[in-house]
Amino acid sequence: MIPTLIIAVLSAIAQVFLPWWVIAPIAFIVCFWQSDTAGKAFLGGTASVTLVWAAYVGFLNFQNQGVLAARMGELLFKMPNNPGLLLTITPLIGGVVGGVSGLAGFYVRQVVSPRPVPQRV
Amino acid sequence: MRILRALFFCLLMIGLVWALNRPWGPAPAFGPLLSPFTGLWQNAENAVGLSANADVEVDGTTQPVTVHYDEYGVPHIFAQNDADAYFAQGYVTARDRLWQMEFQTHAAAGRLTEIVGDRALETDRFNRRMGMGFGAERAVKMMMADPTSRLVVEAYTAGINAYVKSLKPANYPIEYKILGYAPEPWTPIKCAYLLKLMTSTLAMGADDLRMTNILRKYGAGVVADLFPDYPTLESPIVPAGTKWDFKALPVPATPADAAVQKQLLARTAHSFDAGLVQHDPSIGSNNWAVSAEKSATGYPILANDPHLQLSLPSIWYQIQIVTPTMNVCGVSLPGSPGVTIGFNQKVAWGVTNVGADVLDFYSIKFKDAAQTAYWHDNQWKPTTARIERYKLKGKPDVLDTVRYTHHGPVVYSTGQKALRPNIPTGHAARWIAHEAANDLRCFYLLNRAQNYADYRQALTHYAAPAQNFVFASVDKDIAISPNGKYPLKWKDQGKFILDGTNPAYDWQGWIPADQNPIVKNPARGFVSSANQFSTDKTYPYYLNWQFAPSERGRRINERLTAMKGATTDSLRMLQNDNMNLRAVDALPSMLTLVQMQMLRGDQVAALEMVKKWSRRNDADEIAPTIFTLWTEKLMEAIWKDEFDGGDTLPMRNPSFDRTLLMLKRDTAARWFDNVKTPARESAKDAVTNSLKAACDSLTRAHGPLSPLWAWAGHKSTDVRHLIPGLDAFSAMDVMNGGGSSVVNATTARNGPSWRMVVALGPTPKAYGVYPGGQSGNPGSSGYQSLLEAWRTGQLNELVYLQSATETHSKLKYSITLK
Repeated sequence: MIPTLIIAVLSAIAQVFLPWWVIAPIAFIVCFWQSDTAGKAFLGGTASVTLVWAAYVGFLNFQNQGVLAARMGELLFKMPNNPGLLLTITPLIGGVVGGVSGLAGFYVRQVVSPRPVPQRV
Repeated sequence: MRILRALFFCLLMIGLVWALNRPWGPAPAFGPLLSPFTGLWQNAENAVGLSANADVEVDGTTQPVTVHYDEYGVPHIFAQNDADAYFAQGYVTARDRLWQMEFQTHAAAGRLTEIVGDRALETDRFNRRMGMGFGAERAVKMMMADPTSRLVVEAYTAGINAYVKSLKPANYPIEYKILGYAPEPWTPIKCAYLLKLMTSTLAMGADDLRMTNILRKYGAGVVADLFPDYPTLESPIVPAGTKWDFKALPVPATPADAAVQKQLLARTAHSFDAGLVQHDPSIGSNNWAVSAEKSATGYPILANDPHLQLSLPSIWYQIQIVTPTMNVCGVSLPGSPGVTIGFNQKVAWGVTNVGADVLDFYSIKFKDAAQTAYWHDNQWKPTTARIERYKLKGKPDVLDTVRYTHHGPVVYSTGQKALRPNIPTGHAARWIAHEAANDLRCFYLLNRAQNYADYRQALTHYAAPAQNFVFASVDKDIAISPNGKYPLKWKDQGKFILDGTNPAYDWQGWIPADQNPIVKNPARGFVSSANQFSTDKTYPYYLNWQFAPSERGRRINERLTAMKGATTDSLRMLQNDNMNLRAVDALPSMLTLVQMQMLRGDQVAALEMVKKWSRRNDADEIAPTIFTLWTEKLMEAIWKDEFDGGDTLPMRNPSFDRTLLMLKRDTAARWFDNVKTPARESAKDAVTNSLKAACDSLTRAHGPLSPLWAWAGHKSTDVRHLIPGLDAFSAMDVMNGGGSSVVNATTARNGPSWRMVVALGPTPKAYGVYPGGQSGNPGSSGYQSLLEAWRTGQLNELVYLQSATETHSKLKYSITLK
């Protein structure tokens, strides 16, 4: 939960000034530092970036009343009058990058200074 | 094991970022494109539109400039001097249309390869080899030599660049993001390129090669019979019988040497390895002005609708520019300062194209394959070489040498493949676009014109593409002048390819500007043009042997003659007039000749529909679809067997006017026979078979006769984005009426690109609309906001402010540049 929030806040701020792919190093570093399982690292990276992108895209699309999403959906996926598709795919692309980066961060940490495997009760 | 796992996921991360951060062939880089912080989502403008007033900090204005935006997104600029006014025009135009301005000037300059790579190379090569760059360089030199136009162009350029400089990549127009490049600074020569682009759209017609091939195959007798120098039906722009009040210059003598002609034909290349492109007669325009006596207001009313290939972002950009010495309003071309079609407090003006022959081809005799010298006036003269460098996106540069003779550039050398089949290889182009000219000066003066004398003065500065400048003033003058820089030619000079070795074939001077055709306040109470012949046969100079078909012009003149108490609305109705005069002219003959007993099923029903038809190309009528196809098939049935030489011998059909004369008077003509069949076909067979063929082809396209054959759906008008194939940014299948020989000249791809009606008076009242919107952003609600009004033939009242502090219910927000 904590890493997800940290990635979300950091990446939202960083993306205003830096290229889009800054989401990768941020998810990497945060998961390196915070995550204690591979699953949590992946979910944290994915959820945080997806959340930020979905929220921003949702806002932009709402105030645009779907005009651009409909046109771009037709352009990219040859599906006219379907703004929902691009609206869904956009956050997922960001999410995948975040998730994979988080996972990479976690596994590098496992090499450098492994975290103990959490005890199952 | 752990190391390998870590390594794998690190590589996966890096690979994923890398793959998303680079373009794949024509597909854009998806990472930056989809990122909501930098990509396409940043172009998703607030649909309600901007509404908050704002101060914009820019360097370059001497005093603050206020810009009010109205509800259509039209900027109304209030500046204290010329420099600030044109700076602001550059700034606000770039704000809405930056990508379009740059893309169009890149196209004109033959630089599309830099954006899309080598698939644009042939297009670029064609534009450059035609001498677009050569002409633009000469034009900008002349523009910059004149202090006034220099100030205008430099201020406009600075305004555009102030906007470009303010942009972060996230704010780039969406096309830059999709194609993956960035805007570059604007330069004055781009203004010249834009004017050259208009010249290439409107004055690049050349039938020289096709006519030469017909002459070669059928001889001078057939050419004179089937391709006469004046049509049967015509209503010229300057009314027949108007007297010419000048002493004409002597016209150069026609070289009459049959041996030379024969030699020329032998030297002229006639075959190309390229698909045929026929001249499209629906690129034309209408304009007219009715006199104070004819109008209901007691002042003249002027109307204009230029027809062009309909595109998005829209061709035109509405604007009002106010300084202490000027208050002009109308439409501008993004990339060209000032107002191109519009009005001020005293006068209004508009333009339609003049189809004068200002592009000729000269057959060049080179000394050798090096092409460094050519034979002219009994001596070898040196060519000059111009090296064209094409920068290809993602590939090494391509170099190309173009040889220039004193005529102009050798567009294609023998053996090179031509892009368009009307351009002969091994021939030099003499083209008006190569002349140094300062056309901007004409519009600068028109924007400030107070009366008829100012209009006349402005017109002398205009070279190309020649336009019918219609004019009306609050002083109750109306006038029209087919105006431009015209070469002084012998009759029919340039109807065929010319001999580049003989000085007698050169362009030998110019028609004096004050002897261009003009008519002022004619007795009939109106002036008009629709691209038809400029004058009757008494005008002492040769302009061309063919102009646009006469139907639109005749219909307009017929309606205006009948009109009394004209209002802005009656002129709007005339702009939307769908009467098909070609059908009125031709159907009596076609219906007499058609053989009823040969028709079956739907063909009989189709014929009945055409008989009962109102002769109007209205959107939901079926008969215009049948008639249009029928005449197309009829032209094919009569001429294709003799005049379609394919790519090896490009030729063309005689005009519809000439064909109709044959249908009326000479049904025994040999041309009706299809020489490719053993039987001998008559005029009756041609007319009947073509109706059957039309019905067959319509059945194949739309199924059996039904409302699916209706005109609007069949015609299928598209307003397409400038990038070919970008349907998502286009308006497809716009349902409306019209047609190519109809006043409302809307066809599949062309049509009225701007409709304007201006009622002169103490305060002018103006109306206008175009098929698109002020914003060039496909993600803006302003991208197509005017389209529906255009489709249904409505006009919006243009907001014409008298002062910066005036309150108007249609104003939405303001920005101040300081």
